[in-house]
Amino acid sequence: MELKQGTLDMLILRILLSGKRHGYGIVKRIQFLSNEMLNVGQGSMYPALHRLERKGWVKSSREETEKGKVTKFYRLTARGRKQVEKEKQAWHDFISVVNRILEEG
Amino acid sequence: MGSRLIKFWNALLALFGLRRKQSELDEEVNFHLEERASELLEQGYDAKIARELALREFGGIEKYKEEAREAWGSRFAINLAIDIRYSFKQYRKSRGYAVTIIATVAVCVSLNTSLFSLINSLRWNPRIYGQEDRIVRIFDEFQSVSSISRQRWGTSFAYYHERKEQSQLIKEIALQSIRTVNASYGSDFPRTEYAGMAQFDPAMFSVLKVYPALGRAFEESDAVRGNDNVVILTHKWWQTRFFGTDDILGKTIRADGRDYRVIGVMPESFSPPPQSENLQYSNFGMIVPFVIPKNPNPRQRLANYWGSYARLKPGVSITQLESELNAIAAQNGPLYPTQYEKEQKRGHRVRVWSLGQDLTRDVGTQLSILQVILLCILVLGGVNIASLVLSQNSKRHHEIGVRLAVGADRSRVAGQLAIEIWILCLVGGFIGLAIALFIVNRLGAWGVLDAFLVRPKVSFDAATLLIAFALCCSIALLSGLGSLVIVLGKLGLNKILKSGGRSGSEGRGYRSYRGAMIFAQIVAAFIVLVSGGLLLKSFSRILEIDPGFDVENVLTAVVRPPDRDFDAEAQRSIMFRLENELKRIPDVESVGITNWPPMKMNSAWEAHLIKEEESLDLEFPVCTMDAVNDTYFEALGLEALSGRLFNDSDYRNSAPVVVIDRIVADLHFPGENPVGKRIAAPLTRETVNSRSELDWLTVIGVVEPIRLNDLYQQPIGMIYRNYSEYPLFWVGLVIKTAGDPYAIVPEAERIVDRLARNVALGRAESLEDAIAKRYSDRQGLLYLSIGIGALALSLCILGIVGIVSYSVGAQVREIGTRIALGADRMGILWHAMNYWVKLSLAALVCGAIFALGFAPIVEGLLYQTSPFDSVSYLAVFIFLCLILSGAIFLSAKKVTRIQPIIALRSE
Repeated sequence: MELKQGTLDMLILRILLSGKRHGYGIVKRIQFLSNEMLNVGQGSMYPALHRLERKGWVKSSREETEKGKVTKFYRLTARGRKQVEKEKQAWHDFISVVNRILEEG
Repeated sequence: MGSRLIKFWNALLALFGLRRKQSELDEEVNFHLEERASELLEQGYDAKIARELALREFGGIEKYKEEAREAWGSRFAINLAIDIRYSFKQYRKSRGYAVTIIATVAVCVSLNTSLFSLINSLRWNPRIYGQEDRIVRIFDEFQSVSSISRQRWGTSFAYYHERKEQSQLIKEIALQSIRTVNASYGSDFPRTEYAGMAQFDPAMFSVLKVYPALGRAFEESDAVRGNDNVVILTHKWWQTRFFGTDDILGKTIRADGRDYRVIGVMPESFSPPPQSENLQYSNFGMIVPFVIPKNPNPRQRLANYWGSYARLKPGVSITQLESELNAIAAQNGPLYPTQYEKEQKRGHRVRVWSLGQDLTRDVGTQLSILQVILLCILVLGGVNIASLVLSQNSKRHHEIGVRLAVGADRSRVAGQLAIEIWILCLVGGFIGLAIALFIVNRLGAWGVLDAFLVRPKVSFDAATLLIAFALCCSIALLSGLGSLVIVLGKLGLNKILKSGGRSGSEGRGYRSYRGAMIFAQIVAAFIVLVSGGLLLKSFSRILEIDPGFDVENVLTAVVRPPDRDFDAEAQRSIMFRLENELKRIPDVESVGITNWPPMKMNSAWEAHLIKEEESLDLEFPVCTMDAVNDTYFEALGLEALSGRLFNDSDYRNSAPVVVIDRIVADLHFPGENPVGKRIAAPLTRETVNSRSELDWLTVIGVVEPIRLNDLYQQPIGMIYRNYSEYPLFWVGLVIKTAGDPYAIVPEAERIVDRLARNVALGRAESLEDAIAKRYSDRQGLLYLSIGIGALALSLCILGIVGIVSYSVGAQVREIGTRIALGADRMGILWHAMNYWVKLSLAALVCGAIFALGFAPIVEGLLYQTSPFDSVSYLAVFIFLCLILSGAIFLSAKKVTRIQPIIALRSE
């Protein structure tokens, strides 16, 4: 299943709500949660992360992984947490509107 | 606006942390790929396949990296910074390539820019006077008068007054005149020298907007007879004759027996207006007021001897002024019927020139030709760079192919390649500009500016910088095309990966592009070489010119006793004594006296030649006239062709005699012996009213014609009168010596000083030097064209060798295959050369056509050489044919040495 346009940012933010992760970790988490149903272009993760960082919703730091390698980890900022709530709300509103149309239309 | 500023700020911030961000991005992408690959490895995949799969799942790395970078700030600034960094990496890899391009651009830009700034300064912004765009020179041209008279372009007092009173478009108008004087200075005037003096109408200062640096300018009250004994010195004279002392004002200078009080010193940068060209040669030191008669004699209405400069009112154009002044002349002319008739007959026309036109009138063509030649060099340089860039980029096919394969955008790759060239061109441009600045600053010291009538202040301005930048841009654009062809052309990705460094044969598009470059080079080289060839031929013709007299060991000089102190009788007596005393100097073989010493004065008397039996109603032809002593002919090595030359018996002879040259003899006495015939030679046609008024002269001998003032011009015929019966304006000396002519100068100076107080020996120089000065400008231009021609030729050869070698190298595999299949090696050699030989031939023909188009511009500089001179064209054609075919053959010869096995292995 292809990811809908504009939803990747929201998914990343939501996943980071549970704690810091690196780019590959986020990809793995999305695949796991979606039961590998969602096809995320792996490369597109990085432009999205850098975009979110520039907006101030996530911040990054270089840290060691469990295996001892160094890479960039991303975590949510306070503004990012608020943004998750906003995005969630917006998504639910969107879904309910779409559902209503689908059912009553 | 605000958001743009923020964007810009972000971009700047991004630039600062760019290096770190870039490496972190690389790090996290690598981490991603390694993690995925190790996972696949655990699933049982082979390591290589695991890595490939990880790459494939990730997608276009370059594309995502770029998208990520875009998130950091302004995309353009970031990409630019990255491209610049990448370019510098490339330069480090191939230093020779970078240095060659920078050097070529620097040479092209420096030559073109310095010449442009010189032309720009001369034509539009000499910065000698104030508000120069409004300064004009006005002169009255008489188009139907014989050529020599027409050169005396100036204006008359009458015309000047009419313009001053009636013109609505002129703000101010002024007159000037030039003369030479014997100037003495110091207490009791111990030293005297021959010097140039300008006479300035007081308005001249406000017309030129140049005022004395010390003291004051002339006022109207100074230009009144009796009050005009004031002088303004040039800065040079103040420094050298008066040692730059502060108490200079109020000191006295004696010029031709009159005392002048110093009231000012001109600024160091001052040059007299260009019309005063004679001042260049005559030790210019003083300016005195010009007393202009308020009511000039109407009979002098056409006497256009005075230089006239004016300042236009704002917004007035030169054409407007020219038509206004012609209208004024047409309106006033009929008030003076006799003169008006002459005006009509002589084709009177008022001309107005801008200052720039006036400054470059003698050298304008030379400068334009140089500029065209240098533009040809620019084309050659640009083409060489383009060829170098193309070869360099084709070595990088593989690298470019990989970059495209991993998702880099085509336009980004093309942009990066273009930036690589831009940087080199800009660096080369800056170096070229610095060299040009150096050249421009040294122009004065190298004596280049001396060739011009005034010394312009050559310097850089916005226009020059713009030109330098435009040159860099055009080179970069021309050479950048090659890169764009590779990346954006029709060549597909597969083709790029397959071809290039490893390759079989080059593409058709390439060959056309290279062909076009070679074509342009050959055309440019042809034009440059043909111009050089024509100038060379013309110069050799000039060297062959026989001036008609001996030039070896002859000293020429001028002595001018002022009329004020020496009446005709006193002058004559000085002249005889001078002649006798000079003859006594050891080493002096003969002393010639003349009014017009050869190669010195730029003019001569012009007389109408009338034969005794002719009707006086005719328009008589003009010839030149001189007054000389008996040993003048001997000093110049002239002998009588028939009859005899002057001798002692002719002094104050009751029957005036004359010697004519062969041209006069052939023209007026064809088929008969002129000796014994009588002629008259009045200086103006107006004086010829009746036979009794004319002085009839008996022809006593005929001599060979000489070229008096100009080697290039055919003499129009000369008649020599005896100096004892004709007044001299000054004494011109022509002294034949046994050894070095300069050795007698000190003794000659002493003799002059002894004979006449406050009179100096002036402008002493050997005849050889005087002649050399006359064509030094042509010589300079010739050397320059030969130098530029050699540069053009070497650039062209380098270009063609490079391109043909590259093209052969690119076909190694194809050729190897052919040889392996049994092709004849000579056939292959011909195959390799065929295209280039045909192309060169076509380019040579095209070059010849372009050169023919260019020829009329060169025409003005040529002496007895047609701009369409077939020998020069053929010589250049054959020469280039030989050089080009040699270069093509040597570059292509290596195909015969290709070993099929090695060639096929080179895969």
